[in-house]
Amino acid sequence: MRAAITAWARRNGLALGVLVVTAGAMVWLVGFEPLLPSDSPAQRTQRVATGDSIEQQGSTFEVTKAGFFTRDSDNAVDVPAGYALLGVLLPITPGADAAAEPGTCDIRLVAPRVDGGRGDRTWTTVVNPAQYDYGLSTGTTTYCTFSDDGDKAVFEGVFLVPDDVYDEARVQVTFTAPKAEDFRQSIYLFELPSDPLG
Amino acid sequence: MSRPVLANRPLRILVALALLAVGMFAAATAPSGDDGVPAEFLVRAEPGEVVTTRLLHSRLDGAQIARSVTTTGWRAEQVRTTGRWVVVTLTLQTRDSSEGISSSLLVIDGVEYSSYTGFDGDLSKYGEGPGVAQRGAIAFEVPAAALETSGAEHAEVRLQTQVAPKLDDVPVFTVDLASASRVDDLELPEPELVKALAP
Amino acid sequence: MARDRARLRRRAVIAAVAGALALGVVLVIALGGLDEDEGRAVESYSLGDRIEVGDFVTVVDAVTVSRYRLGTESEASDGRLWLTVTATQTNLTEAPMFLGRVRIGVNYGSALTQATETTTVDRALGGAAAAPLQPGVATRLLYVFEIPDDIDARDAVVGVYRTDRVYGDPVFGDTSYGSPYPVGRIAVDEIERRA
Repeated sequence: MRAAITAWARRNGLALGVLVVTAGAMVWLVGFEPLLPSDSPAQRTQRVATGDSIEQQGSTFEVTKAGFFTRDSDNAVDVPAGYALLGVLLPITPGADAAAEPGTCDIRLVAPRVDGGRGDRTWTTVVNPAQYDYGLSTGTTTYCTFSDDGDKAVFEGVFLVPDDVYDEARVQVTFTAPKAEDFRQSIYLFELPSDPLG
Repeated sequence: MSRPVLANRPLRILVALALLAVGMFAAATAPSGDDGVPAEFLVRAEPGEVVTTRLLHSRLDGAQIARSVTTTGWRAEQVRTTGRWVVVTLTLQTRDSSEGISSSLLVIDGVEYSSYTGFDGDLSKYGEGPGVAQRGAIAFEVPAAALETSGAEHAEVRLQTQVAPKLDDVPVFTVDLASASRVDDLELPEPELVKALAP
Repeated sequence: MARDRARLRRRAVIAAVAGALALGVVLVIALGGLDEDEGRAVESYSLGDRIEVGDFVTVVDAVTVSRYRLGTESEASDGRLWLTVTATQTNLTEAPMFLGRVRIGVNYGSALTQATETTTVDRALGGAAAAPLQPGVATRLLYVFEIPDDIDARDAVVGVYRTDRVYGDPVFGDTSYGSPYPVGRIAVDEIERRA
């Protein structure tokens, strides 16, 4: 019996060797080597209640005011019936230990879809709100920015939306960490104040 | 006791060759990237109909033919052509995030024309967010002779958000260019917000 | 004995057939595939001649040297002038064609002063974009180059190139040189000079 096994092993030695090496390589690749996108947990999305602030890279972010303006508002804007301008003020305050290289951030407005599709609807800011007779506050910035001079910056975003999205809308701020932190992304959904201006 | 079939040497060779031939045939006829397997799905409609596809609600409102197009806006300019401009008015509304239709095509008799990107105020330069409908125009430059063929009676306007949409649906409007109105010069309107096509 | 000879003969036949096939494949690969080569001859043309190759047509209408770019108030940098080649190009295929495929270059003196890169390619009939060429539409284009002002522009030669094919080594078919494939050469005797 043993002679037969030895003889068989000798005949198929090469094939057996290849099998062992291949199996070992597969185990190593799948188990230990980052073949699959391993270290990116599904981007964690954190909800931020009205009035709360969050801290990222040493700066504080908070939605302090929101407005919802249509053609029929007291502060009317020049948009057709059925649409509105949703404005938000989001102060960005650097703390004492603000990071020197904070990475980048991006601000959009999101709301769930109402037409049966998957995912969310996303709006980006209007480049020129003045075309709709919307006056931007002085001193605000229209893009998300970490301060580089230690001063507080106020982001003012104006979004052109259908006039029924306010209650479901959230301000989505996406932070992308710098290279030193592997460009890790964190996403925050800020709830809007329940009593918007307009 | 008969020998097993494949003990016969010539038969083994024949079977091997036959398998090889089948393998080569399969390889030769296997679909490749250009074979239409990942082609787009065309969703056809007439002018005036609202079409809903994965990314857009769209409607073709009209088509006109002109020898030159005058753009409005701060850099007004008259843009001429040795052929003809086909100016198509559309109403568009995206469904989940803003999209641009600058890869749109006009197809006449199987010949493809891409939309001209050199006007500041055309619809392909603007993309509003979801739920917000805009009406504007895009233009195609075509040879004058293409409008005289019988194919011009059922020309197709394909609204594409990418150059080569794979396995995605594309709204296609059939337009009769042979009976479209013709003018010498057409002013290209800037896009304007209009009532939403769908909630 | 007869069976051995027959077996040997069968094997020889199979080997010969296989060898011929292999040789054929090697030859086909070495000769650059089964595509037709349209030859490497570069023809000479004059202004106004119709230069057609495969799928596009070029007619070079005029060459102009000027201090201010044609139709604008944009002045050339110090020590340089604008050289504008006005050409009408037509796409003969059934789909839009990008201008990078149908390049025009200028050689104003020696090979060292050759330039195929333009500052811009403008649409002569207005509009902010020149590319791509729509099928069947004769499109008037201004190829604008910036050249040193101490060159005698009378030595200018305008070349029409296609970039879907590139020069390769004639023996080994190596295409790493990447030079665009010249189609036609136009010697320009009359250069229009403008302010």
